[in-house]
Amino acid sequence: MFENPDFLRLLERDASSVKLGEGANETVEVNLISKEKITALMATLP
Amino acid sequence: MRLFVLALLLASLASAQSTDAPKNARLEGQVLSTAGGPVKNATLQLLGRAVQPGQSPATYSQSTNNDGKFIFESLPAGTYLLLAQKDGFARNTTPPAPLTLSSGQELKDLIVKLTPMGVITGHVTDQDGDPVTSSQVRVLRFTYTGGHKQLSKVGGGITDDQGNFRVFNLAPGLYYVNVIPRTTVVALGTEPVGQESYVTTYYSNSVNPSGATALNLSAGGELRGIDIRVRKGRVYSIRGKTADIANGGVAVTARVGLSSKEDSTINGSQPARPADGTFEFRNLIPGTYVLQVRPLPQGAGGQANGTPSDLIGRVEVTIKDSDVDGIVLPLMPASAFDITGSISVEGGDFKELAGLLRGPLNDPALLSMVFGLRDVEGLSGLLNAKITDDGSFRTPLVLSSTYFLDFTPLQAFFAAMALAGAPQGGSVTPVPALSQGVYVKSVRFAGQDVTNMSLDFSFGANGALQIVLSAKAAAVTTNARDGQGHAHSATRIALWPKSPNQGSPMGGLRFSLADPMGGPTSMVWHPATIIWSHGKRWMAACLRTRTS
Repeated sequence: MFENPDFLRLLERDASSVKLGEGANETVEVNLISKEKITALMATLP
Repeated sequence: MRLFVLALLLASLASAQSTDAPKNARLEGQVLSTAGGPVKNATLQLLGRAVQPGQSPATYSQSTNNDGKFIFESLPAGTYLLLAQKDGFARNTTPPAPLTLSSGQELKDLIVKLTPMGVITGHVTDQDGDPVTSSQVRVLRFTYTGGHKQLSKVGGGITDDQGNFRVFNLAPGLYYVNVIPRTTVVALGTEPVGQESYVTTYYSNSVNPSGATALNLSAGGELRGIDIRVRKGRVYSIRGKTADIANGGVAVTARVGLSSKEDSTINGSQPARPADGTFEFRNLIPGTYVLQVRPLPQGAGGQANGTPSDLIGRVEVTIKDSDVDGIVLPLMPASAFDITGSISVEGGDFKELAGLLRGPLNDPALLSMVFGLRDVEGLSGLLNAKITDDGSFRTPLVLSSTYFLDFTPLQAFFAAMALAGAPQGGSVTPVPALSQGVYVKSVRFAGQDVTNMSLDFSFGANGALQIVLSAKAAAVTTNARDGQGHAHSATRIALWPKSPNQGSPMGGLRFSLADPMGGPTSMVWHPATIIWSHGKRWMAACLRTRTS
């Protein structure tokens, strides 16, 4: 399912964004996405 | 009096010992269905951590009672994985969160949830309304192979004497159903072929995957009445012959395979006629098909009926509204497609390469496993590059096709697992072969920049592949938090480019390799194996691997 770009786009709503440059060292806080939510997102995809 | 003092002393000693000695722990809980209600007779396995690499972990097993409850008694203090399973429920294939039991701890009211599998039932009839018996019914889902969307089979069954079918053990999700009539024969035949025939039909009433109706199956649900009336449609043939290009185009014998690009379940294969190398596939609906030559089993001397076993060939054919004749399926030696090139290190010389391409074991013998080419359609396995001491390499291709550069060879992972004494089986996650901090900075083929692109060798390979590595990969530290802002462990962290990387499997998506026995909440990433460019934006998400 993670190969599906449509699924990743849905997941992006709860994901954190980080911009990387060469040699950068960035820290990002990421929120927990429940398995129930992942299952629900998967079920919406054709 | 002496006896009394002695007894008091012994009692005191026993008390002191019982205070210091580790006490066993106890675990009590219940298995519930996500659809509601307890799950009786579920099997639970409690796996302890192996003390030494290669040592088998301690394992304890229990079953649930009629109330779905279970108890593990007399457990040594430690960290455990708890796995639950039962027929008719989805297996948990991702690592659950670990349990840590301290000495003498009694953990109660632990809830484990299992997701019940669903069922799809229906009835298949022909155009006259008569039941279609002994025909294949397939339950399908869309999958992605190299960015290409395709229906793939996830379950199926055979219609009974009344045309009924029942497909079970399906996880919740969206599905498609098709039926393949017995009269659909994708094979060489001698009988006359009509212009119209019963064809593969998708629920509810389509002969094309694009017209199939999606079915939303809930956890433990049963979708009834998925009735399909098999349709007749115009069908066509593909005819051609195999030809050994290296020997003047003479006909050769080999096995020819055909598969639909839209639906992987429509496929077949046949041997080409020995006399003239011809083949014919019939009863094909309009669409695009891939024809491949598969070498016949080898005879004495590496030959199969005079055909060298290393000959290869592949073509794509599209049927619109007529038969396709005169296809020449060229067989060429695999060596004709060798890809050559070199790997270098930015700002350094090749002596630094061994340190960057050290692989997970830092073993020079694994250098040749560092990277390979992977067919985007999954038609062949990973083709490892053979790297020489000066950084030049050669990679034999099996098929003229489009490829990814792949720096996560499974062979290296298996080797690492074997060295670490890890148990065999279970899920396999490829690991990067490059050292941390190293990434693929640029890729050029025949002088053209193909960084972030797949490599199209459909028409051979006239040119060299040049790969430049850099030791200046970016690093990302992810701190995982739950809804209350608390640090959270034992989850998978996913990291992917906001714009999918066309030159990498799964668009460049990577998962963390968190320790399932208590992974860190903070994880440092070196997106080393991703072909990456300056200023690229990435997305990170923390995925919970068990139900709450």
